[in-house]
Amino acid sequence: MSEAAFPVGHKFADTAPALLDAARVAAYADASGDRNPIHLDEDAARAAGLPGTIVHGMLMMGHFERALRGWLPGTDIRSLQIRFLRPLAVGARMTISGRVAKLLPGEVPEMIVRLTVQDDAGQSVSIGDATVRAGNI
Amino acid sequence: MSEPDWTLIAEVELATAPDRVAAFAAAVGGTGVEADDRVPATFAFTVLSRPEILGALESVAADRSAVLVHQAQQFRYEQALEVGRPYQVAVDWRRNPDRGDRIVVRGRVRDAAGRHCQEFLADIVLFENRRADGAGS
Repeated sequence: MSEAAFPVGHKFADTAPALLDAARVAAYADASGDRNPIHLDEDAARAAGLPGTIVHGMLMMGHFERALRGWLPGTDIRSLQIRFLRPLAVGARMTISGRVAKLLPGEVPEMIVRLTVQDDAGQSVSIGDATVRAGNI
Repeated sequence: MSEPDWTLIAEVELATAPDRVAAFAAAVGGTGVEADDRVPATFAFTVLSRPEILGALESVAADRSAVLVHQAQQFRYEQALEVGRPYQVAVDWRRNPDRGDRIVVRGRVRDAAGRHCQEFLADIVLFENRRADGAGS
């Protein structure tokens, strides 16, 4: 195999901060069917022990795909995973960072991209990884 | 059919009507009009919001006076889902043998010909004290 276009440790450009405001969260609730009030109703969120409404974890995860396709156009995503570390408040901005964690040689080379979601304060709210195939790996 | 330790909740249809997929794609940061009639990578998870599935999971949580907290999520893909095609999702769950407060929910997606397309696994905490110190949903 020729030299990897993206060696282990390569860091992709962080995604532009995405504002996940009440309208974006409501749009995701409608599109996904997940209308848990902790995402939509301040009083319900507080009653559940939260400081306020929080973004759906799966809304964060949904943005992984866009980030990956931005970094690696035409990529074939073989797996995705995420671990939710702490809630992200509705109204926060989210940035996704990506770094090549491992190259998997083979007939169709793959790479594992480590993904981190950070809030406005730079605090990690979720971590995950993706296994992808792309022609230029 | 479920394997030992897995309890089937339901087999449901996953509709990929263009308007639904477009709304979901837009909600997770896309334009709503993706290349290749591709269904977003996390779209199949939406079946967990179906009343018959969510109700079954909430019943498991209610047995412990708990609420469902989504801790982690993974997807493994065999073939991409296409807009406008019908899919079936077998949703089942099992307890984490090492943690009484954890369950895993699994969705296995097949196309109309019965071919396996993808599998997703949701790690869920049965959260009992209603204080939110972790996780999205």
